[in-house]
This record gives sequence, C-alpha cells and structure tokens, in this order.
Amino acid sequence: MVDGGRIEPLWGGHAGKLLRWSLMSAALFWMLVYRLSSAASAFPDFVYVHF
Amino acid sequence: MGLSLLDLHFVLLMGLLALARAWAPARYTLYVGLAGSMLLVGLASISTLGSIGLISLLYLYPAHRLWVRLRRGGSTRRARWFLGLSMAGLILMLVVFKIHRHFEAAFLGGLWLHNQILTWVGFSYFIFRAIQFLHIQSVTPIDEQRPWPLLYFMLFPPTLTSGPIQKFQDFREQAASPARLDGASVGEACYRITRGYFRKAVLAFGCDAIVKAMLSAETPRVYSSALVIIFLYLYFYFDFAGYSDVAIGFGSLMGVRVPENFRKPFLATSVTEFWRNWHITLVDWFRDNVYIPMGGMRAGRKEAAGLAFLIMVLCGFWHGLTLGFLAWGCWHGMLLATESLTGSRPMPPSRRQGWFYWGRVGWTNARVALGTLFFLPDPQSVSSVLSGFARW
Repeated sequence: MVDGGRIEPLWGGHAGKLLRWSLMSAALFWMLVYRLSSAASAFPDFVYVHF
Repeated sequence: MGLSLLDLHFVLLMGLLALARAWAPARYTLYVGLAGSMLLVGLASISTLGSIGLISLLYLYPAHRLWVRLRRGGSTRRARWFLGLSMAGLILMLVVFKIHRHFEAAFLGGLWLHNQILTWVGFSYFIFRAIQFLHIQSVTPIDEQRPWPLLYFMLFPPTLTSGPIQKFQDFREQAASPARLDGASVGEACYRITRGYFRKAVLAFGCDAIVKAMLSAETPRVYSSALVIIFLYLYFYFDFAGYSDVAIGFGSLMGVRVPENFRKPFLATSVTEFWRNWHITLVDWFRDNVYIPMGGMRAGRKEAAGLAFLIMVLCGFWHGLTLGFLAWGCWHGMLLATESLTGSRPMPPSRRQGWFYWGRVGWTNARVALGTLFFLPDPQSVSSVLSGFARW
C-alpha cells in the first residue's frame, strides 16, 4: 500500500491494523464459542472490575 | 445482571446508548447520555445508581453551590475550610465502604449495611472522581448551574467501575459538545474495544491459566516460581490495560475522549518512570490531590521520599484492607523513596539503546513484578513461590 509515495508498513499501518483486528476478533470468537462452551471453563475473577 | 465489561448485556446496551447519543439532536445530547447512563447503571445495579446518584445530588452538588456562594461572598478562608470538610466527608465514606467490604463490621449499620454496600459497583472510583471535582474548584473556577452534567459525569458507564479517572472539567466540555462520530472514529473505537476484550478474554485468561498451573506444582522450583511472577505481572497488565481499552473505546463512541491509562510501562528504566506509565490516571490523581497539596512540589529529597512512601501505602490500602496490599504498598513506597533519596532519574531518550538500557529495563520490571506476589490471595502461595527459588 502506498501512502504519499511511501510504502506503508504492513504491521503498523492501516492494513496492519485491519489484520490485527481480524486476528484478535478470530481469537475472541474462538475463545467465546469453543473455550467457554465447556462447563468447566470460566473467566477468572477479574480483580479490577469489582472495585 | 452484574455490571461487568464481560457481560454481553452491558456491551449491547452500551452500543445502543452510543447510537442514541449519536442520533440525538445536539441540544439534548447531554440529557440523552444521562438518561441512558442512568438506565444502564440502574439495570445493572440499582443500589449503585441509588448511592452514586443520591450522593451526587444531595452532597456533591449542594457542596459545590455553597462553595460558589462562599467564594462570591469573599470569605475565601471559610470557603477553603468548607471544601476541606466536604472532601473529608468523602474520604470517610470511602473508609466506611472499605471497612464494610472487607470485614463484617458490626458498627455503622451492621450486617445490613455491609450487604448493601457489597453490591455497589465502582464506589471507590466514584469517590476519586468526587474528590477531584471538589478539589479542582480551588484551582479552576467551576460554576455549574444545574446538577445534570455532574450526575452524568459520575454515572458515565464506560468509566464507572474502574476508571480511567477522568477530570470533571475535561468531561464537562466534551459532554456539552461531544465529538461527531464518523467512520474513522468508529473504526478506531471498535479497534480499541476489540483489543480490550482480546487482552482480557484471551491474553489475561491465558496468563491466569499458566499462573494457576504453576501454583499447583507440588514441588515449586526456580522456573515455576519465575513463571508465576512473570505471568502474574502480565495478567495484571492485560487485565487492566484491556479494561482501559474497552472504556476508552466505548467512551469514544459516546463522544468523550477518555484519558489513557497505560503508556508502554514495560520500557520504564526506573520505578518512578514505571508509575508515570502504569495506571496513569490514578497516579495523576494522587499527584494532584495528595502530593501537591501536601507540599510535594516544594519538598526536598527526604520529604518527597516520605510522601512517595505514604502515597504508595495509601494506594495499597485502597486496593484492599489486607496485609498483602499493605506489604505491596510498602514495597513500592520503599522503591520510590529510594529512587527519590538517591536522585535516580529515568534514562534520556538519546541513551535508550544497548545492554545498559535493557539491563535497567529488566531490573525495573523484575522489582515491580516481584511486588505482584503480594496480590496472591493467600500467604501460603507467596511462601510457596518464594521457596521455589531455593530449588533448581
């Protein structure tokens, strides 16, 4: 991708952000749908939420 | 329904609230935001809405109006006394809240009040915002004719439970004329929210699993003890930085720029620099409301060291009234006081390279990470981890 005559870095630029967002969304989807679908799994008791 | 960022109801309601706020006519935007916030907080925890709402309307707002009247009347000395007493009242509320939260104390309302208070969410952050609101008046003239902006500030859902601790004067301006939502700002907000949930639900969850696995080892060794400390440290970072990302993202959707809470803390070259980049809004709060009023800016090295120690002990007690948190506060207080006494300074940007720089970064992180041990819930776990360093 070219931005003002400069090649935009793959990881740091807009394309990189979209790529990171996609990877994070996929990981979240996997975590919510598969990991937490088993009864034994549960999120840890996040300490900062309950102040 | 509990007010948790991991609750799907919360996410959906926040999305609806952001949409309602964006579509509302400009002159009603504050009231739509306030009504939506009250609805959301009320659905999550009616006692939280009641306690924060009542204290804001019946304590903070009248205190503010009386302060304005005293200042206009020219009695500055009386006004300052009044402001000090008002803040002392808030601190007393926080102390009572903390005592009741941690002990089933049989005074000041007994068990009934204890049970009621336990259901309040984000109360200590509310007290921080409230003290900041009262204190800032002695520095910046604020004259709120109506209580609604203050109530909206106190109930703003993205920052209600755990900050970041916003300043009233910053919030007030943005709540009155919030930033317009466009494609770029929505995209950035969605990115921050996704990153926040990813950090909490994937990375913090993974770190938690590793810590638990290592703690369950029958014979702790150096590697397992080191892994507990490293992943506990990472857990706290991903958990809280993730939460802050979500708060900043939702705040942005509501047209309010919520301040950053973390700025690459792992690259700090001293503990002092670490605290400038970790939970930034809390450290700023202590600087503005405790350190500066107690003369920290004019203090010599010894006095500044003493103040730093005192603030970290207070910060430890704020986390909870336990010996572990007291030890954590003393540990960080000692580190900060030592740096203050020795005149240790963070490395300048031009020298941030090479083995000496990375050595200082490692040494800073090692000391901070060691302190996270005090967050373990029981002393047996702490002694088990420490005993692991004696076995290869």
